[in-house]
Amino acid sequence: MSLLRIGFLPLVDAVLPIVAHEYGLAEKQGLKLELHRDTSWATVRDRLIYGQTDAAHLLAPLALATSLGLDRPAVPLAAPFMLGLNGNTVNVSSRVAALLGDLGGDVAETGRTLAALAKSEAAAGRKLRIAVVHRYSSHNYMLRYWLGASGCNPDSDVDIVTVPPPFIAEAFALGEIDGSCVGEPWNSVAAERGDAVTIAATSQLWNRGVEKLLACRLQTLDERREEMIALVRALHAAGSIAESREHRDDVAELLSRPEYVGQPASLIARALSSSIATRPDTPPVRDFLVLHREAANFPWRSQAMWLYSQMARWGHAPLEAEGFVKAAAVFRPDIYRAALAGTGAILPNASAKVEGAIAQPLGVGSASGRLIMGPDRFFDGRLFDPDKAMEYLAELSPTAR
Amino acid sequence: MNVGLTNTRKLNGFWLRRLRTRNHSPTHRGEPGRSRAEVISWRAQFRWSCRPQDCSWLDALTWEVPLKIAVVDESPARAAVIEEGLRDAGYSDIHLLLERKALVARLHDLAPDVVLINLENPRRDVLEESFALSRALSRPIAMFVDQSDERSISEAVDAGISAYVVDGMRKERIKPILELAVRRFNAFTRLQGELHEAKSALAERKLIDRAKALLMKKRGIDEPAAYALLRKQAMDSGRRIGEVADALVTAQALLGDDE
Repeated sequence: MSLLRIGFLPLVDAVLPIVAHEYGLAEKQGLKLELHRDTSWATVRDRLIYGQTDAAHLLAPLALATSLGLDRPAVPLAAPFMLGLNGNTVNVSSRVAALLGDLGGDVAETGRTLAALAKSEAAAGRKLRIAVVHRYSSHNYMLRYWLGASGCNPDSDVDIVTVPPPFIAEAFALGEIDGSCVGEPWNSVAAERGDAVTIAATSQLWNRGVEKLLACRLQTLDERREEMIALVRALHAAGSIAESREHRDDVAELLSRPEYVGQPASLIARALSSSIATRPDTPPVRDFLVLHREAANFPWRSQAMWLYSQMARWGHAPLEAEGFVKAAAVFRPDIYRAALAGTGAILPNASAKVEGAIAQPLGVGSASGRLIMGPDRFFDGRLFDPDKAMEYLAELSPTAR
Repeated sequence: MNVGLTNTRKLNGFWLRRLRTRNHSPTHRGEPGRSRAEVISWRAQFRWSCRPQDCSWLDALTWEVPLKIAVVDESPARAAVIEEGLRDAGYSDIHLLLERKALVARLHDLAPDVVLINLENPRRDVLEESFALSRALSRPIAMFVDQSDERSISEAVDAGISAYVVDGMRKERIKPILELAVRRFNAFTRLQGELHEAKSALAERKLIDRAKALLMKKRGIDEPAAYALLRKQAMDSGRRIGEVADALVTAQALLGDDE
């Protein structure tokens, strides 16, 4: 039995490695998993690149930043498996919620109202402080995308700050932040305490937004390929359990244990149900967190490239065509296919797609299994064609760049 | 010796004159040499406000000025252990940051050359964000040392430390600090482990004493016999004596018999 050590942060979307371990799925693949819980992404990353862990639950943009060497010497990572799509919400403080007034269910309209408020607050010298979990996080880029397309400049009209998810509720209570974009259960913890109000889910901003992934060092993948392939199989099996209705309460109970997420099972079960009500008066948002269905675990290279486009857009990464190629190479659909061939899992034929093009559920070509993709639209209807990535960046309006 | 000292003074004088011109500070122009404290504080501020390529000459100017080291740790005991080690090794400009509140702002005001922080500190992402912004504003801070010294970084991660260093600093100046911090960190972890063991051993001995007293009273036997009984039960059930004693004392408490 080979040992694989996996780093994670206490979040609902760390569920797949936890279920793979606790339900004996890893063991079936000949693996013994050791899960290492940490308190910051920086430490999850450091343990991974210095070999204290063999794989990690990681923010997709952070995996790209690490591979590209944006903040520190580059360490090439490989991401053969996605751990879930979306699962984050945007919250605002009660004060800001009152200023925003009555919001309808339309996320574009909510965005425009928020952007207008952000601009007027900035003009009055009270820039809104909005917390994200990390510089290189989907939360940061989705929030920026929303604000940018809604008429304000996220670099100058608001202050985007980093706050560790477990401190979000406290930061709202102390009035340190006016808004947040964080993953579950931490947004719900703040909302339950009455210090914050949820105004949008990231799945409304991009229906199938890339979020966390399983990362390992490229070197580990080369040296321990068979074990990594076994891990992908175990995680894939964990996906169907984590998403099934019958196991939901058990899985939520498991995650609520102090060594995992350490928050109430009721909040965790709500996130796992993939349907979340942003406000009592609006219908619940569906596909809030997609853990497994529709081949959600497949590492689409176009998703890595969209993230890179946003990193370049906001000056976090160099604006060059070569960067897109490097970012796409971190995602490893080849390993995903090699691991799951012959298991009956859905294997898409393509490795990249035009992101945002599916408005209605659509049958997509697959080598095995029948793949029906759900809507993957961006809220503003824009398309991201990975073959025209540089043009996409050039097209974004000057106010939004 | 004398010659070296004179050269240094000359060098400092030369650079200080250059600094004044670079600084465009009319109040300092034409003044005689600056005090040591002034140079230290100026140097730190300069590092935080210029590009790395512009301050590589700083080391030549200030090789005799001590490094300013910030230790960020929520455990005051561990921070004190590290500080002591650094002082013993001759570093004198050490600042402990023990509180969460306004960490980034305090670090910015302090402008240290080296930041040591424990890996478990939840503020690391916040800190890295501020360093990333600093770089964008041309205030150089590098994470860890540099790539050529992966081994000592890896040892630091194993020990549970992370380090951030102002860019352009010579590696030879940082390495001993990191190595020292690693030794101290490891020593602290070991001490903590030993303390924990000692505490649990003491607790277990107390538990066994209570279980023995219970048995002696209930069964009217002497101490060696009570101990032998506990030991036999432990061997038969494949448990430690402490566990058997714990079960007995717990059962007694639940049953509520008067002791």
